[in-house]
Amino acid sequence: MGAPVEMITQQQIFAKHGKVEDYLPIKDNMFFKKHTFESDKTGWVTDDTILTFALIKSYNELGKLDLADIFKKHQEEFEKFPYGF
Amino acid sequence: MDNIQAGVPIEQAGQKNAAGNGVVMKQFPLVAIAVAKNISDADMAEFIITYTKATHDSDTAVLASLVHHKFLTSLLKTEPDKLNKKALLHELIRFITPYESRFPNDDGKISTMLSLLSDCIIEKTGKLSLSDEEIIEIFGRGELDPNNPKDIFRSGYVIFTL
Repeated sequence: MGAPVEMITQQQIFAKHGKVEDYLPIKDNMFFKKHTFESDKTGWVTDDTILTFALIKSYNELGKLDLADIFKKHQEEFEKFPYGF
Repeated sequence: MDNIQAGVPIEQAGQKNAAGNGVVMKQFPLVAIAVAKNISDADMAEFIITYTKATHDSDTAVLASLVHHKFLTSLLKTEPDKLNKKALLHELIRFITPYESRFPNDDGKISTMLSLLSDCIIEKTGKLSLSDEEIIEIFGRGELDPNNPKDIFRSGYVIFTL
């Protein structure tokens, strides 16, 4: 369900969205609604997901946990993410 | 990120007092690596402390990252039908207590919150006796303050995360 239901309870999710069976638009999330999105496409991910992939990318490339490289890749993703962190 | 870009050392780059869920949201790969490579909790803890402080420089965020790591590694190592929630919570309390001395946060002791949560597990069924709303009522959610939206990051943070 992701960002559109972050930090709200099961009861609140049901009241607001009914039975959730697919991805929801991210623009209603309290931390993202300030941003203007280009479309109402579903399946958007948050900055947290992007940085998770950055960590995985670093480990896959180096075969070890390297803080400098992880944050280098964080930085690269940070610069590409259009909506701010 | 701006600090890192400006050349501030990683371990000093984090925003002071930041205690949002950004670190725990991206922690699972570290858990998978730790379990697959048999990295000890103590060894991984030192990495996680720096990893957290790089963006969220607060005792609360560090403690939350540590307890979250222990929580997820324990889940990953346990067969679902053998999961004992109360025992797991006590394992988390034993793990995090020494770190609470090292990182004395002022948002309430995580071990106390975990202990309260453990008390709310029904012994016979192993199920939590609280609804979501009751959890929020007891542990606090934090409300959005229109003048200071970051207020939601404080109370109840760890419980929400767990």
